[in-house]
Amino acid sequence: MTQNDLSNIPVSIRHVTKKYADGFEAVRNVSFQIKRGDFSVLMGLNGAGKTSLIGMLTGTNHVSAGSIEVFGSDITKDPIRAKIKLGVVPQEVNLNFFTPIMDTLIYHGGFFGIPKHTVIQRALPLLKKARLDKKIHLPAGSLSGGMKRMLMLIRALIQKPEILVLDEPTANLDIEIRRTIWDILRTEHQNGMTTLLTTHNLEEAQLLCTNVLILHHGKLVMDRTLEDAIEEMEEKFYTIKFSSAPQKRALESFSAYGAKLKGEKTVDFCITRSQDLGQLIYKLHLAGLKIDHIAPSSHQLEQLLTEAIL
Amino acid sequence: MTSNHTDTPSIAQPPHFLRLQFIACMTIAHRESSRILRVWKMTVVPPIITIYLFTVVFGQILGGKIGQILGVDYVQFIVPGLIMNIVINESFSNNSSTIVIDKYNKSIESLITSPIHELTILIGYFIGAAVRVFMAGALASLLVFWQSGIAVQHWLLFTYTVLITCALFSLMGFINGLYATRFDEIPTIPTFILTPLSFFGGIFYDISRLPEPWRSISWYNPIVYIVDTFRYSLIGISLHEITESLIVVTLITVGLFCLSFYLLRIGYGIKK
Repeated sequence: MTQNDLSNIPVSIRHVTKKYADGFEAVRNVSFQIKRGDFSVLMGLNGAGKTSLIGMLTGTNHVSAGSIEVFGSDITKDPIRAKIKLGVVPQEVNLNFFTPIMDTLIYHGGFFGIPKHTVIQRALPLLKKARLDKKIHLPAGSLSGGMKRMLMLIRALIQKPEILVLDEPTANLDIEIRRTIWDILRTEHQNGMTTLLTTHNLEEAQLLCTNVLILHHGKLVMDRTLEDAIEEMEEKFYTIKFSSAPQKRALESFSAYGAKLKGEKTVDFCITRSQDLGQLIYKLHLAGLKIDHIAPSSHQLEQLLTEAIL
Repeated sequence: MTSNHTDTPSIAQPPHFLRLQFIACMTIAHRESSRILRVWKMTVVPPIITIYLFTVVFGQILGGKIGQILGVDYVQFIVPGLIMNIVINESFSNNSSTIVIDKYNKSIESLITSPIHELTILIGYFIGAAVRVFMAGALASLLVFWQSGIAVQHWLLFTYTVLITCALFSLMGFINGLYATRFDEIPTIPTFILTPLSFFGGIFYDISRLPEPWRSISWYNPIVYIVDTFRYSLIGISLHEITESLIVVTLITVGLFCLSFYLLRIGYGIKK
């Protein structure tokens, strides 16, 4: 691939290895690309090397071997051109707790050459959405954990970056803040932002992403579109919501589909390669169960992850 | 929380390189200045009180008994060194503490992940240190100049000496900040290196009167050159050739600048 081709690719990671001073190899010879407009999720167990990889991509970690290019600019050799296109939301809160909220954004915008008035103009709608607009003069340290993470997301978004890199942005957050973050991320993705997300939240991954990358013991074991990956799975999981609570006896006849009551009206089903979703729907209809809603279950990704790493 | 997130397009064109670096530099300087003003009781007031006490005790109470040194009153002899002491300590401690605090709360990551050139970072932090030196030093100078009847004789030399000293020790503080991993490592260099060098830097006595080998050893102390040059700019007396002193101090500053630049480039102390 020529340099000209690479300049159109948001992230190109080639044979990257991360070896720490103590000799521990966190990332081993990893290669993949993220294409323009992709929403990729990087998954893996704790210690799989996700944060080390993100650290190398964003410039907080040295690259031990290989190369990382952002739109054709090498993060080690040409860091300024590479970093200008990256918005970063790290895993750990990295705010100066004494700095007021608006100043936090103004300073960060300033680091990217964005004038104060532009930062304020870009920040206010996002702060309003996060219900932080009335607290802009408070120090960042006075915010709750969830709101600190929200502020870090807003801080990255005021740059209007071409690529947004998020390292477990919703870990340990309540559902309201989580959904607000998802909503923002979805909108930014629809507006053309390329996104790389690491998460342990499979619901989040399934809801947002188009591509799946799985790291295991520092090695990349999967790099597929979500659709393709699910298509090739041995078992597929669906959550079906019925218009009324299904009878226990009625569900027993669907044991071949691994029927498992999830909520009062919702049931998880597992369909193997030899089975068919249409057939299941037909059988449910015959059993007098009226379907309200069908969605791929978050078990789908759990299964995907399990198949990839075992 | 509202669900309709309407905003301008998500991606913006980055600014021109020089414009970006200029805004980033001013941002670092502004951030530093705001922090210094926010904690003015810690950053501005203590050096003023210290220099006032030194001037009263050593200059006015004991000075009368000591008499004159190199043809000037003792209080006038020590004031330039005391002011330089403020410049040295404030510029050093400003950068070392701010880097360690930023490393501790990880807010330095915001700087590392930004497209800022190493030169921009160093200039930004230098301006921050200069603001602190100016606020503490200018007030202290006004107070002790008035008290001891000193007026600046060579303004250009006065300004250059203050700025080059500020640059030298802010760079030294910057390197200390990169090196330090704990808060208790911040005062290591001030306590074990800067304070002894200051006390043996000719602030309180005439180095030419020291017995050998101490007199020769003293000329390896950069603070001797700084104090000597600054004293000349204020009261017109010096123990050494001013041009040589300026060259020594400038060369040390350039050396520290190159070292800081290199350490930043390799991410020493801030990248894993």
